[in-house]
Amino acid sequence: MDIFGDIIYGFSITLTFSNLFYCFAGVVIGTLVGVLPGLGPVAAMSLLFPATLHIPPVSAIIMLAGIYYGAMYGGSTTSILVNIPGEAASVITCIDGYQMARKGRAGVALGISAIGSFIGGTLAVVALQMVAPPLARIALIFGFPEYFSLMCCGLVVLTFMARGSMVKALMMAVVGIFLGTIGTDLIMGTPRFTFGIQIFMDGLGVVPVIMGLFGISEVILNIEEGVAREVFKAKITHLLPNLRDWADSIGPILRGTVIGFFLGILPGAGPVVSSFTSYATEKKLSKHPEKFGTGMIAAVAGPETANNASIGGAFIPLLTLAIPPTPGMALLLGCLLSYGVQVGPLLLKQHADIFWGVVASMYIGNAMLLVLNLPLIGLWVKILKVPYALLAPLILLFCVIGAYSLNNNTHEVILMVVFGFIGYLLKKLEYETAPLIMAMVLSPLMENSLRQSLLLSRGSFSIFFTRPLSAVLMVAAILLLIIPNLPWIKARKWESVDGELE
Amino acid sequence: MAFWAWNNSGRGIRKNPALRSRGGKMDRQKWGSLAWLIFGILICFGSIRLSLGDFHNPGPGFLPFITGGILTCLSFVVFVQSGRRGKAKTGQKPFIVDRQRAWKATLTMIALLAYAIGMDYLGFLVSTTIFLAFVLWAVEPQRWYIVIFGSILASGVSFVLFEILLKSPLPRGIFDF
Repeated sequence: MDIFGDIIYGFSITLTFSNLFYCFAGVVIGTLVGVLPGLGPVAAMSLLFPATLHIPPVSAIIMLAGIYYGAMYGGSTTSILVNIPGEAASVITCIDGYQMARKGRAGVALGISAIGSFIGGTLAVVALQMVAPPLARIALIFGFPEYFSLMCCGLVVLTFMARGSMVKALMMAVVGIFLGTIGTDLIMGTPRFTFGIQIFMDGLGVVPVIMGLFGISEVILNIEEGVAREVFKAKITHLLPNLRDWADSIGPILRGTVIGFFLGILPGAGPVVSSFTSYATEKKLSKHPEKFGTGMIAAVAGPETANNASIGGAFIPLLTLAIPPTPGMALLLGCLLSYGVQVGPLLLKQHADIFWGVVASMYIGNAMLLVLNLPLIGLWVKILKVPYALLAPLILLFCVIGAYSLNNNTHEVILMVVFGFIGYLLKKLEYETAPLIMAMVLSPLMENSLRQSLLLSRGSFSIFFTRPLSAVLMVAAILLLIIPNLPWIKARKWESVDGELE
Repeated sequence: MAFWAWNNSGRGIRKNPALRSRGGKMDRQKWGSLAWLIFGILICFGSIRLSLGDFHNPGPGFLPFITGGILTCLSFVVFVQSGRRGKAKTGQKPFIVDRQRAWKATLTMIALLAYAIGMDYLGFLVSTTIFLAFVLWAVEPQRWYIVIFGSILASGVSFVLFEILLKSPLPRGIFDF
């Protein structure tokens, strides 16, 4: 089937009443989550995952993906109107978006971020449908050693992209791999680190761990730090940009699409790094970099486009190689595995409905989001006015119900609360939790690849260096581990950080 | 090791307020890395008990042992780094910014744990109402009618939504509802 035939097949799956409903529900919940500070898309996806267990996998993934990219749209609303990012990828929009609002241009800022998000999101889906099938064909030549090297390389790239200490990010990845080994060993059948607790026999559930690390810990931190909000009071009008605004924005939107898409493919980069990179690029290319921070439309259009485009890019390693580049994608991988769907290069052949259904739903979802975020902006502004003191107990309640619904037992809830406390401590100690989640999801695949590779090579680790593709990936991983720690590179990194802070 | 860390980072800090926050930061990172170090060693011991196998035929403890070993080494690196960085970096955010708010966060955490444990005994409706009322009262104290009616309404609506409409069974407890 050619690519147009495939996408028509995808639309035939998405354009059913039930899938349209799930797509709509996903993008509405995503926008809501994006608008409300204190609940990120990953926590919301994990929260709703138990509710999707009784529906077909394609519908579930359409809805969960909708939450993920929908949150990117919603996040900009809070950044522009309240000067608080609704989610991490919209941090940079606060700078110029809020300044635009103060100058009476809140409508244009919201308009261009929604339009940019639509263009970036849609073009990234076009690129996804072009790039993923040939990449999946290449991935078919991967054996166990290549897979192990790829996962090692992915985790090292993830720690390399970490915002804080690389050593701490590596520690989190190692802890994640360990947590993934808890449960019954699949080859020998031996229980590992279960301490006789029944729910550990099948391994630690990814969903309660994610809910704890991303949902509960975030709420607890917000309660401790206090979320003060003052919503912009002026009436929001003139959502559509004029010709001058278009001229200033079209370049940043197109560049943001390219930056977001390619950074989205890299493990760890995701929407946050994409939006920051886009902002830095626009500032570098601008004729008036000194005006950045005073309400430049390019500084809103570029990052908002990039964070949406990165979602399309992030689906490529997930759907073709089973490597999730962000925690959200790790959750989607966990969901697909729990539905019994084998993710990887064969997904396109064995579950074409899921791949093309999700791709087609992203076109429709982006169009829905444009409607939701332009004419209905007033509705989201009203929701923003709900005090956090009322929202926090409700978020906690939904987390508890979500964790309980997984297996209808309170042990999962206790596990979630424990990981909520661990997540709180980790954030206080400046450890990033994203590498932990991704490593935990990849751990069973990684262990299987390692053990099978060693069986193949009769115990020789040289197998990872004698097969060309595996060797390239391993060498890349080793270089990425060494280079940032070379003294002169380290010194330059600190200098650039100091410069940016100044 | 623990005594050494306490002795080195703690001495003199109490006397000098300027050093207190810097020392606090240094302490926090050192204690954190020390906890990871112990955790890594425990993983190694646990893995050995599971059987490591050999390179030809790795056993169930093989990968956990590697992760435990790497974690131990990395936490030692962080331990050493935190000592060095602590001397260079100042102005870091303290562990507890506002004692009152930190107490509220702790209370919420305890209430959440009690809610999770008590849900099986008291049932969803009763335990949820108590939990919501407590959080609404303790975190940002609301008016009494919001605390009472808000908690009853939220638990009732979520019960109808999940138990009745979505057919997702919730714990019934000793009261059978």
